[in-house]
Amino acid sequence: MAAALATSCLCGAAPARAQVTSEPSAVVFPDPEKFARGLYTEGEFGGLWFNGPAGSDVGVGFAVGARVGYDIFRFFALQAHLVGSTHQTQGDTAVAGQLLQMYQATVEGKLTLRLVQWSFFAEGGLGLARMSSNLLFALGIARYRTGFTAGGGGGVDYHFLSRHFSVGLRGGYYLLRDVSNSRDGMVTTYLRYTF
Amino acid sequence: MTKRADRMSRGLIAFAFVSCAATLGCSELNAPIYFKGQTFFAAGKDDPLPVGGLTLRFRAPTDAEQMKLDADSTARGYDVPWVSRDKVHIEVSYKVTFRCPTPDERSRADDPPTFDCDASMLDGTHAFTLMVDGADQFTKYDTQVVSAALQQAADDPPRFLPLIPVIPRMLAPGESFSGVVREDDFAEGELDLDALGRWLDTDPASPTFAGVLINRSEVAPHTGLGMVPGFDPNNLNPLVVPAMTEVDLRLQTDVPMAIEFFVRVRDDDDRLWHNDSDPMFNPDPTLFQPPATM
Repeated sequence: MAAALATSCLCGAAPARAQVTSEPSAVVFPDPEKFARGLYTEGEFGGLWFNGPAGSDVGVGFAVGARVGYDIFRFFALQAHLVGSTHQTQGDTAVAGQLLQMYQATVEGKLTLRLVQWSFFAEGGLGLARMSSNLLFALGIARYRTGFTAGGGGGVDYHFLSRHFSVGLRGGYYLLRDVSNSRDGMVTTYLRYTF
Repeated sequence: MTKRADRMSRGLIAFAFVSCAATLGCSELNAPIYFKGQTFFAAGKDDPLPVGGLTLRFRAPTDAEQMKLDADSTARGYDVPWVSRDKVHIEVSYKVTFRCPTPDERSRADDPPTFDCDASMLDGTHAFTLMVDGADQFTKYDTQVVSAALQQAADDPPRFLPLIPVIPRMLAPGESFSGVVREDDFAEGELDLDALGRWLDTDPASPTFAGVLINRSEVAPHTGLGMVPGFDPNNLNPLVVPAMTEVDLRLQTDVPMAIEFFVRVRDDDDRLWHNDSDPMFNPDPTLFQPPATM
């Protein structure tokens, strides 16, 4: 009995001493830091319409586009954007019903606010808009087939748990200076891949 | 980045750029060019019929193109046209309105309408007929001239045989009708014009005039096409048919009407004249006269 007591005193565990210094930090899941950042591409489709002088003669059309960009910072990126849309002329003219395509190529800056998987962004830029034919010139609306365009928009992006993929919805509004200062608006949905 | 992801990234970027380039390229391949014609007017019961139209300007062939044309012409045994139907495709869009000319139209510098017209006096429903004529590089067809040639007596009502007739339509005051004279209508009219100009057959069993104008060329017995080189009822394509270089519209109606029109051209081989430095092609077509008056 004495031997057992002696062994217990000599070999027993030391008393535990714990000290709480702060609240444990909440685990953020998924961690946005783990999302890929840098070079990215986007493919988009949606609708595009005209306002202003061209609005009465050119109908709403289907738009398909692509972007290539680079995240310089977490919150800022530069991107190149090309979108093509197809339209039908409308209204009370002899050429109502003709098909017309428009291509817009712009260089844009993009500001992003990220909230875990969601992010909100605003973007804007300038570039060129080109018509597939001289139809708007024949109607007296456009001066040239290729003209200056500038504008911007914004949208919302949802990042999948995948490191690379996200989807989003965006809207934009652009001035078409050489189409009698008409404007075009577009709403598209997109898939983004960041490398 | 893993090697696989790297390959995928390069592939996606290349795909995006190739898609964009291909889209732009395809759009440029066959983009139509539109020419706005000047609005013209019918006063009603016009004689001669009011006419409007435009002449398309083409560049002259380069030396190499001319050599190829000459070689083709020698091989085929007839003049192969520079402006050919398989390279130049024409369509006309028009809008006819039952109305009087506006003050702006009356004050325009070029060929303003001068007839009296009171908009409050327009009433009833009236028909109009649009007729399309024109010229290719060899032959010009003028419905009015042909009509005059066919007229037996001074007081005979005129008979019009246009290259491309359009179905008559009815309009009420202020109403408009928009229509299209399609590329296939022009293709038929161009074959008829060439048959009349270069391959005229006076055989009463199958006269080119006015057989080709009344009958569609692809329908047996292919009236009036017997002299066409290499003519084969089962294959009407061996002939290189000239395309129209001039489009003329005539409006026949009993009341005041206005017609606005556009000519659309698809120019496969970039033969329309764009650059001042290019020499212009200047054809001198011969006016077609019906056989009875030749």
